[in-house]
Order: sequence, then C-alpha cells, then structure tokens
Amino acid sequence: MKKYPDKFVGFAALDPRRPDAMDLLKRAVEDHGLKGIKFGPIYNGVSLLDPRMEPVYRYCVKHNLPLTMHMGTTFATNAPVELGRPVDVDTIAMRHPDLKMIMAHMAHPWWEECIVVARKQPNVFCEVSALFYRPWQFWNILVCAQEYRIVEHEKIFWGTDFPFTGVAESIAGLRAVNRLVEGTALPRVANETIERILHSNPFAHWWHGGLAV
Amino acid sequence: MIVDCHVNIWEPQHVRPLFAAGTKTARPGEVGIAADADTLHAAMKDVDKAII
Repeated sequence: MKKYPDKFVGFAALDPRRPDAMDLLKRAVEDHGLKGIKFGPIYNGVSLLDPRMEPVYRYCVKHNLPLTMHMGTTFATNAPVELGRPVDVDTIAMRHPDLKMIMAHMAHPWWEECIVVARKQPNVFCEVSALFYRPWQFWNILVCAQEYRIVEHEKIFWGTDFPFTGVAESIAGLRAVNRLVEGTALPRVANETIERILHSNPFAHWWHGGLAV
Repeated sequence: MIVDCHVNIWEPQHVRPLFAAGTKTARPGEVGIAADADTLHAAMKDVDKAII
C-alpha cells in the first residue's frame, strides 16, 4: 500500500486460530491503516458461528471495516467445505446487522444460497471473482442474480482473484457470458447487468458512509 | 471506473508446496502464483483500484 498508494487498498488476512489474532488485527488496522478484513472459514477450519469470531465481528462494526470472505468450495483436499455455506452469513448478519460482509466467488457451488442471502440482508454483498472459466455455471449465476434483482440493487461486485485469473480474461469472460446460449431461447444476461457488475464500486457500499479513495 | 475487489498478495515464501500443487486443479490452464506487490501493480494496470 505504501509503495502503490494510488492503486491498492489493503485488507488484513485473519486467522482466528492464533491466540494473538485480535492483536494482529488491531495492529494491521490501527498501525498500518488497512481498511478491511479477509477471512476464509474453509481455509482456517473455523466456522463463522465459532465464538472466536465474535470479537472480530464487534471490532469490524466498531471500526467500520468490511469483512470479505472466501465462501463456497476450494481445491484444497483438507478444507471443510461445509464451513463455506452462505446460510452461516445469514445467521451472522441477523446477529450483527451493522456488519458489512462480502461473499467471494458467489460461494460456488452454493450460488443460489449466496444470492438469496445477499438479497435479504442489507449489509451483505457478493462478488464474481474466479468464476468465468466455468461458463455454464457462470451464466446460471448471473441469470439467477438478474432474476432476483440483486444486480440492480448493487449487491454484486467484480474481481479477478488474481493471480488465479487476470484482468483481461476476467473482463472478457464476463462480457462473453451469453456465448454458450447463442442461438437458443434461453434467457440472456443483459448488457446492463454485465456492465453494472464490471463497473461496480465497492468503496461506495462496503463501508458505512463510503470510503474515500 | 473498474475496481478489482479481490486480489491476493503474497511473497514466494508464503506459498507452501501443498497449496502450489493444488493450484494446478483450480482452473483450466496454467495458474501463475507470483503475487508480490510489483507483480500485482503490473497486472492491475488496466483497473483503477484493487482491493488486496
């Protein structure tokens, strides 16, 4: 962030298994100026419902920090994917209604669950990073999001998950989402939906009052 | 404006062999695992901001 302040906004990676997790979190935010928290329940093996997460939620609310989370599955054989279900985000959102949470990767393969949770919880969002290379799933995700109207309510954001994908291919993949249904009567992801996601602005929504960048 | 809301940053010593091996199954094609600050800056040249 110090080297490239005009380009990057930094989030702190959280490992709640560490006894000094909260101390590290406070240092990251209060000493180093990081603007949010990143957590992966399936990577740490810690459920969102685990009591160790409660101080994290309270700290995030107190300091207006969004909590972005790898939700859904992963390729790692030892990752307990049951911890990546969006229903847990729904539970936490009801318990902490001022906590801004973001579900990464549309919590695939539970993207319908992700969409309904993002729809019903005002402070819950989702994002489409690292999905375009599964074109059938990606098309289904965006049609479903369109039909549940969460795109027009600015609940979906764009990202790459770099280095797993790059900027150019992610943009191209999003804009080509209708390619596999060409010549069919299947519904289209509207151009407005595509461009709205691509040009979405997390700084306007992920922080109460927005984040000046 | 285009904002990449999900960019990973790490140094080579952060990448353990098990994770590196797992990236080969993450998606079709080759996955580069370099994610240091300079690599990110070059990769993000066409976006306005990136959350890392």
